[in-house]
Amino acid sequence: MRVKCLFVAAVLVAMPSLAVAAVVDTDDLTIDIYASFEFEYQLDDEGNGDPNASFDSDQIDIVFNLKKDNFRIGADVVLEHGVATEDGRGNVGLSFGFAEYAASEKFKLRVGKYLTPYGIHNPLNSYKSGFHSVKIPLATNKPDKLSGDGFRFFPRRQVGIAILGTLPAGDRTLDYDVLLTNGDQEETNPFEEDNNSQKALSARVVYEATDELRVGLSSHLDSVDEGGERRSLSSVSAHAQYDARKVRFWTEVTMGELEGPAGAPDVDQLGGFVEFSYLFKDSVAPYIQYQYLETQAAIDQSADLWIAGASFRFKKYAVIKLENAYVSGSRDNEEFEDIASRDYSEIRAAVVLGF
Amino acid sequence: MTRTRSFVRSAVLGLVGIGLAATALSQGGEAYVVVVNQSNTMSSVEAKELSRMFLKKVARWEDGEPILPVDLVLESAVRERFSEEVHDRTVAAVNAYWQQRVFSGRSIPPPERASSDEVIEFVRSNPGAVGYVSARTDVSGVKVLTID
Repeated sequence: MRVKCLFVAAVLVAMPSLAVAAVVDTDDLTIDIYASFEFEYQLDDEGNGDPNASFDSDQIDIVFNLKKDNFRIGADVVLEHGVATEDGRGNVGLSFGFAEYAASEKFKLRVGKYLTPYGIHNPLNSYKSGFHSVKIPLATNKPDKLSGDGFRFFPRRQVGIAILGTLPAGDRTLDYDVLLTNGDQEETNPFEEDNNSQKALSARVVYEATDELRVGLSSHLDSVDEGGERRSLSSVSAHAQYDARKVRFWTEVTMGELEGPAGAPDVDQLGGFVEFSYLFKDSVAPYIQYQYLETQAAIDQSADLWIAGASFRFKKYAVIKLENAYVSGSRDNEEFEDIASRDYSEIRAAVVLGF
Repeated sequence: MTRTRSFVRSAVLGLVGIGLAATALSQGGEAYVVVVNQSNTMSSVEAKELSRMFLKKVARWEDGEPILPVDLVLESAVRERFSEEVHDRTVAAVNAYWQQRVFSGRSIPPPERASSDEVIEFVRSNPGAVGYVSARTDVSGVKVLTID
């Protein structure tokens, strides 16, 4: 254990020197760059984490915004896991790319590719300075990684048309997004061609109740490829974010229903998380997060996850995170079938710079 | 039980490690005044309303003119004081807010200028502009707003 801790400490000391970033900024064209470097180490012999203590050149995001009059082009080019396409490693992607016409702040029209506006974390993209934990909550964003029966409540990204804006609501504001898209599918590239006539519909509203409190609802309706069949998917989420100067409390509960295979009942799924943190000296924020996932299928494939950690903002644009995640699954959860104890712990660290 | 102890021990070690590395960010900054274009009809503004303008939560002045906020750069001591007093947040916290908006594609932050003189020039040239500058800056050609 002592050797493990020394190793982790050495990695944390070395990490800040490994990230590089730059920024270009004019009034019409802005380029923002975000980089994250991660380290993961599973403490137990068995588990679904990383037993080999891996470094991960997680990603570099380059966001371009070109604005002229009422028009804007926004694009986020993401380079993941130390891209080396000649070796088929890593990933180059377009996280979002759209053209926008803003009639006003109340009404904007977009065409292109978007992050699905669902819940708290997906609209934040993978921008890890935007939240405390090293990874976005699996229970609400990637249930299939926690449960053998798990299905995603929504696709991370979609292509289509969108309207969005910020409406006055008394002396407060209401952000809204409505997307009509191809949805998700496997037969064709959903960012180019729809393989079915049913469009997906996503919507999200967030009401700024006070300067500190934002509450929201999200929904997603689609028809997805599952096990070679087209099955309808409907999801809904309620979320709240309390961000005071010192105290932060975030929570989300999301429910989904996936149509069952022919003759089989529908599969319901419930996921959620709560996270609490307190900011010391405007720089160090210890946090604790709990996630829960339940799939109401014939067998119990539930899972839960506790995370305790701290994020340390050592520059206005730079954050170090360190956390310990304890993951456990139910006896019949297929994701944990190779783990005798049905649980494991993993240390995770990240250095994040955003300009 | 061993597993629980292991979890608690590594979590505590992590928190202590980061805590030891922490240093208090300096408070204070430099005094400022809020400036708008000469054509602006307002003479005062509430701090909360001003904050919402700079966070682009309100888009237009009372006369319908689009609001064009302009920030000083992150490193500015003037911005530090402005952020503490008007946003009731550190510059880092406000920067994090904008980065969330940028990296999610939602919106883009106000333009930044490197010096108070450049802010004055921006405000002088744009009817809807609002900025803040060092209290020692020559503000001729623009209008100073008082904060209620």
